[in-house]
Amino acid sequence: MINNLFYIISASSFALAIMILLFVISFTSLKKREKVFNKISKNRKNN
Amino acid sequence: MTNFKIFKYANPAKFLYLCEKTFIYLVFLTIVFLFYGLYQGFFNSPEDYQQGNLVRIMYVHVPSAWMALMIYSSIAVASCIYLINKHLLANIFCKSASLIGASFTLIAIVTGSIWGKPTWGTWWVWDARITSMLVLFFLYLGHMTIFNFSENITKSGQAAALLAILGFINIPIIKFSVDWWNTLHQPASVIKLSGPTIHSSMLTPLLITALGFFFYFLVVLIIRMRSEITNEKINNLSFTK
Repeated sequence: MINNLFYIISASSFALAIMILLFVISFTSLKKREKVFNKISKNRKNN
Repeated sequence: MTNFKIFKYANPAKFLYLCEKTFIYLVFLTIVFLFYGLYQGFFNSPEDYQQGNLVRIMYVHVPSAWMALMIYSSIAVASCIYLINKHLLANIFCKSASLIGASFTLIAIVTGSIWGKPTWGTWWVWDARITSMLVLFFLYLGHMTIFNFSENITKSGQAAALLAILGFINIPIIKFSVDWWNTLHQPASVIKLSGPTIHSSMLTPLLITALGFFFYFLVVLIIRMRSEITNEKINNLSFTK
């Protein structure tokens, strides 16, 4: 029973960890690019 | 073909507007379906008469495998559209969806391996279903690698589209591998012509979780596509400087 629980928790936590990681990576990448884009467009307006 | 209403949204500006309007609803649907489905699957659905509680791994393994196949098929369709109509958004979709599909394939392979150890007595076996899923994972990796060759996605997009279309042959092989060959992996029990052989008390939470996975895909896809569109804007601004 405890052994089965180990396999169930391992599988589900691996799946959730990958899904959360993917969300965080994608969101961080979007925010970084938006920051760069805003900076470039602001500089161009000032010039 | 250009008269299809869907192509109205093949314009990045219109697409971003649509994403902005629907994003919060998709996040809400993801949370509701994912948590309700997993709660039902892990705590309220019955044990299997042979596997006992181990069957609960199915609620993450099966939806991941479905998503891996669905995403690859949609990439193949978008690749055809890109090669024929040269829609930039189709190419951006292919690049954005690739990592999500690879992640779902990895989840399906690893959770399947964890499920295989106590039920089959081994972490890995080179049977047709598992090997063809591994081939799918390598196809995703190849697809992402081609896109990473160049910062300009229109350059790498054509080669990636060709790989996606050629690799589509693997999808029916994965689906029918359990029927065509003798495999350790069990045959299909949900998506089959004669109807599902799985009991409704297990099927319902499985389908709810699968919907949750689908909405999660849409949420991350929108984030990644917005990111790619912003990257294209940065490239255009740098180019016109």
